[in-house]
Amino acid sequence: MPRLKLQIDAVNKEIADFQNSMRRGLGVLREMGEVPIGITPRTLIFELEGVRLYRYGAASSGIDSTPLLIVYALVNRPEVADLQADRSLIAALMARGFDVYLIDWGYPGGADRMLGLDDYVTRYIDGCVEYLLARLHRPSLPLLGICQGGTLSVCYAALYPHKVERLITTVTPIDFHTAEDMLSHLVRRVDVTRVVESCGNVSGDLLNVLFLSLKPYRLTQQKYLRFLDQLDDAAAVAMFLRMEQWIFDSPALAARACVEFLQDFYQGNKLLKGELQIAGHGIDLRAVNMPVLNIYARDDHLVPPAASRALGALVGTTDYTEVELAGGHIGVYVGLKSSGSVPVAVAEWMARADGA
Amino acid sequence: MGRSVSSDYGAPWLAAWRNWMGLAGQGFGGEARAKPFEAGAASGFAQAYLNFARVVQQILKQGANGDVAKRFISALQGANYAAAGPAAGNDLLNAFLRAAPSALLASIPNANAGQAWQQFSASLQGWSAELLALPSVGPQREWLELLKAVQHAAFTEQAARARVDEHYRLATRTALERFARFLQDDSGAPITSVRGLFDAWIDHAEAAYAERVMGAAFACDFGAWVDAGSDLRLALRALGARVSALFDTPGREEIDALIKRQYILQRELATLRAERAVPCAAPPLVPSSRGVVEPPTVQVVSAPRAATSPVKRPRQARKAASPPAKKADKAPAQVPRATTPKRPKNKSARSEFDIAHILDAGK
Repeated sequence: MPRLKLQIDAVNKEIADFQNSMRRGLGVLREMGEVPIGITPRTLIFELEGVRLYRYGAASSGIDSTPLLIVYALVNRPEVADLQADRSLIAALMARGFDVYLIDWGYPGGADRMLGLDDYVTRYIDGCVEYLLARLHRPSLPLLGICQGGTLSVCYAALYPHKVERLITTVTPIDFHTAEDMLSHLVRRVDVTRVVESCGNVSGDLLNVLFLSLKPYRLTQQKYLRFLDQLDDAAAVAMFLRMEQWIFDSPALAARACVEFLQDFYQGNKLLKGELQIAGHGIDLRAVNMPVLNIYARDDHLVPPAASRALGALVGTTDYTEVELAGGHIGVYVGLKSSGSVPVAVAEWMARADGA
Repeated sequence: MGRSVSSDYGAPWLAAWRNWMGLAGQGFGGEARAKPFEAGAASGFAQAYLNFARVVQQILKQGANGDVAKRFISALQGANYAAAGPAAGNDLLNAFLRAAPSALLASIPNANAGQAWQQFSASLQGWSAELLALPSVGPQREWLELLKAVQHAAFTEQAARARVDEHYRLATRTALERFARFLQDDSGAPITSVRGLFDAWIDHAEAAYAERVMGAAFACDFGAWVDAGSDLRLALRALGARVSALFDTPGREEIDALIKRQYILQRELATLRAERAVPCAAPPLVPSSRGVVEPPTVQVVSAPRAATSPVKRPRQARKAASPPAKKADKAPAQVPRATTPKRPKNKSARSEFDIAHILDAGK
């Protein structure tokens, strides 16, 4: 007997239910209005050429807390780490006693097309770190990198190990040539110089299409069908809309930084090979001699686990810890249970490293 | 401009110009952006899913007690044949099954300019075949060369795009074949709903898509298509620059040269500021005896990158963030002129955005 066992009455009912659900959904969506993202109060404490450093929480809070500087990716916006109260990595870290800071790269404009990775690593990250070290009277501080921000953090830690007390990487690509890395496969034969010569900064629209093309059926069809299943759940609808707002709020990539990242990392895999240079300095991961926590997602289709786990064999530290979390690239931050997972892993590891 | 356009070429040129303006006005993809992802937009998606469900409904209505799986597989095979041949069918099922990659392909910004591009291209069709085969001569030679370059790039892009689309079509065919076999297989859990059928299709479609895309041939064809799109945009830009020059309007190259000059000056200023700063407030650094890599010079530039309000920093922190620079890190004194140089034909990779190349430009 074939496995397809459909009955006309059941199908008729299913179609009618779907249409009713659509009608009801329109009503729900009309009532929803705007859904804010980035909910934890924060204060702008430093700015460098449009790159902003924020401190989260009340101005007087966290005086004795452990500082933690979050370095987000150049792709997308950092609000995914602070979507809503019960799914906020930042709020969860604060609740565990961290004094959280975040570098916001902003939205590079046409005049920023000459910015390169040397600017981001040796001027912007280092500028923010230097500012915090002086403000907090510390010789070094912990960094937490998210995705590409983790890659930049690793580079930074290799260049300035004395300023990085501990390094935490989350869903961070290190090996860009793993077998299952579709994104790497797609861009491997593209002349990225010609792309940016012809369009300047690489637009958020183009990046969105590139990311959607990794799973086009799930991300452009099935995802929305599942959304319709949740229309009776106002909280789930709000969460979905927040995710939609975040995922398509895509800053452009500065042209030069984009060329360098695609050529050196995705095409040349130079970080892994030890051939990467930033600002004329070789990035030798053996210089990463501080304790390292590497968190990766088991079902990550953007940064496969193997791409992240490559870090372990390259860093110079003997204090290296890996944590695998269930979920996908974004799910580890905003999944139902995951708002606890990353901060719990970070807090436990930091406490252990503190000897607590 | 009117005097320089001969009557022979005036009409098609003006038509091309009008369409080019329309194209430029849409940002080479504005139309695509206006309705991105037809299958993904909420209402469009719902309609696509309903189409899928109604196909199933129609099949079931054909016979209350017949073999549903057989009829559905037959419908799939119809879609399969349509997907396999050049005359793709317009039936709902086929349209739905092919929706995702096609919609994505069509929505890539700057690659598909939509109706405006088609009009522009059509306006050149009547004379391009003849002109493309002949050397350009006469007072309109430069204009003809630009138009021919655009048309040649357009042909190349269309051919490259067709090769990528062929991969999507083959992936769909593979998915359909496997899906049909899956439905005939009685070893798994039964599918009793349209939704279950849909989810099973998505699994098969995604797997076949990934398999095709991860192949070496796809990477080559995808890269060639993206490159062809870049060449088309560059050809259009060259044409636009020629038009802009008639109105003394700066083109992209001139603006880029200014941006480079500003960038170099900004870095040089940061270096000079760093040299003047007193590093007394710098936090203690771990000595280099730890065997670490020597850190690059800190360069703090206070000018805002975008239109934002700078935050006043404590004096101590400002000093701490600005240790002295090494002379070796100084940017060269000379900066490139803001002119519109001719593009070299064989530039080294990444030279346009290679900082060493940029900083060396004035030496």
